Amino acid sequence: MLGGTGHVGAAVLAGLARAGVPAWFTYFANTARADELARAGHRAHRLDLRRADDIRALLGEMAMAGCVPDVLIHCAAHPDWRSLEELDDAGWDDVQAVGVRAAFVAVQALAPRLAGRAADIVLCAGLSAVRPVPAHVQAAAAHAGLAGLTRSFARALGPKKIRINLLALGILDGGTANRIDAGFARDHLRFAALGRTGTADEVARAILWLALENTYVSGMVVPVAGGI
Amino acid sequence: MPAHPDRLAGKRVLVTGGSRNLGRAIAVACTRAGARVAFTYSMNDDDAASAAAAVKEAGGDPLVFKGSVADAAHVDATVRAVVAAWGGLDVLVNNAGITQILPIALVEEADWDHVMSVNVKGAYLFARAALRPMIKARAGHILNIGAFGEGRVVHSPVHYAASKAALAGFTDALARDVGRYGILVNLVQPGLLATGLGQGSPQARLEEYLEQNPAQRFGTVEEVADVVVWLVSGANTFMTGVRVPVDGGA
Repeated sequence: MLGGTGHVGAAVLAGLARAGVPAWFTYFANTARADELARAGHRAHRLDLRRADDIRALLGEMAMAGCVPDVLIHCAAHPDWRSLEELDDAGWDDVQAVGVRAAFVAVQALAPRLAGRAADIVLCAGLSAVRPVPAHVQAAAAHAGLAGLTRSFARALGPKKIRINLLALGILDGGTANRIDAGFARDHLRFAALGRTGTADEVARAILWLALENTYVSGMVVPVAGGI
Repeated sequence: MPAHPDRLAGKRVLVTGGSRNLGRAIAVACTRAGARVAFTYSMNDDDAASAAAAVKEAGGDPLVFKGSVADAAHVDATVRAVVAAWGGLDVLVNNAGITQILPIALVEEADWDHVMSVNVKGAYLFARAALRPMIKARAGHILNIGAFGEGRVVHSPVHYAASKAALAGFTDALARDVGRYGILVNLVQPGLLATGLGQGSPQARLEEYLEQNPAQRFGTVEEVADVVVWLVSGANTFMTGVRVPVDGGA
C-alpha cells in the first residue's frame, strides 16, 4: 500500500486488518499513525514516494522476504496546494512523482515478480480524473494521468491476469478535503445525488472490494463520490 | 459458500428476467448472500421452474412472476405482490433484456420498438413501481444491467446498443433524482459472457472479442452476479450513478 497513513489509506489498512490480510505500507510523515497501523499487524516503511528507486527497492525487499503482494493500492498525493501563479517546476514534478509515477514504478516493478499469478491493483485519484470539477492544475493533471495509466495498464497487463482499476474519490469528511474551498464544497454537495460528503470508511469498502474480491473488472475508472 | 454469506441479510430483492443466464445467477447469488429473492420471467415456464429450484437449493423461497417488463399492469402487480408478501422492497435489479443479432437494414420498426420496450421501458416501469416503497423507506438500490460497449470498441446491433445507452442515461438521471431519498442507482455493464445473449453473436465476432480482450476469456454470469451483490449491499453507500464495466478490461 503506497500511502498508508492518509485519511483513506489508514481506513483501508484498518479494513485489511479486519479481513485478516497483512500489508506492507509506506508513509511519509505521520509516524504516530504508522505505529498504530503496525500494531494492527501491518508493516510500516517510511518512504518518500518522490524517490522511484526507493519504491523499487521496497518491492525488491518484499520479494526477498518471500511476499510478492497479491494487491497493490496507491492512495497517495503530494500536498502542494500552491496556486497556478505560485507553483514552480519542482512543485509540479513532486505532485506528478507521488501522484502518478509512484504508481507506475510500483506496477512496473511488481508485474514481472508475479510470474503469472493474478493480482489486483487499485488506484485512488480525485474526482477531477473523471469530472470537470475545479481542482488545482497540478493535482488534476496527476489524477487524469492515473486514469490514462489505468486504462493502458489494464490492456497491457490483462493477459498476465493483473487487473487494475481507479476510483475517483469525491469530497470526504477529512483528509485532503479539508483543503477544499468552502464555496466549492457547498456547490459540490448541491449537485451530488446523495447531498453529503463521504467517509473514509465507505470509500475504503469500495477499495477493499476491488482489492480482495474482484475477478473480471479491469480498466475501470469510476467516481466514488455520492453521485457526482 | 460465498465469502460474505450475510452481505444481503434481511434484504428483499426483485430481479427481472430471472429465469435464465445472468438473471438466474443474480437471483441465486443474492439468495446465497442472505436475501429474500423474487424474480420475473416472460415466457419459458420450464426455465422459471428450474431457476426457482436453484434459488431454493441456495436456501431461498422465491416469489416468481410471469409477464412482460414492458406491461405496466404486470409490473405494478408484481411490485405490489412483493411488498404485500414481504412488507417492502430493498433492491430492484433491472436485468431483463433482449437482443437480435441483425444488421440495421434488417431491423424492422417493430424490432426496434420491441427491444426498446423491454430493455428501456421495462426498466423505467419497474423503477417507477419499486420507488414507491423505497421512497417510503428512504433507502434502496436500483441496479440496471447495461452492456459493455460504453467507451469500448465493439460491434453491437444498433437497436440493442441504443437501448443500453438509453439505460446508461436513465441510470445517471435517476441516481440524481432519487439520491435525496437515500436510494442508490447504478449500472453494471457486462462484457461478453460465457453464457447468455452475447453467445448468439457470429463466431468470428466472438473470436475477435477474445483476441482483443485483456483477460483473454469470456466472463461468467457468476462473476457479474458477485459485482451486482456488492453494489446493492450495505457495503456500497457512496457509489451511485456509476457505470461499472465487468468485462476484463475490454
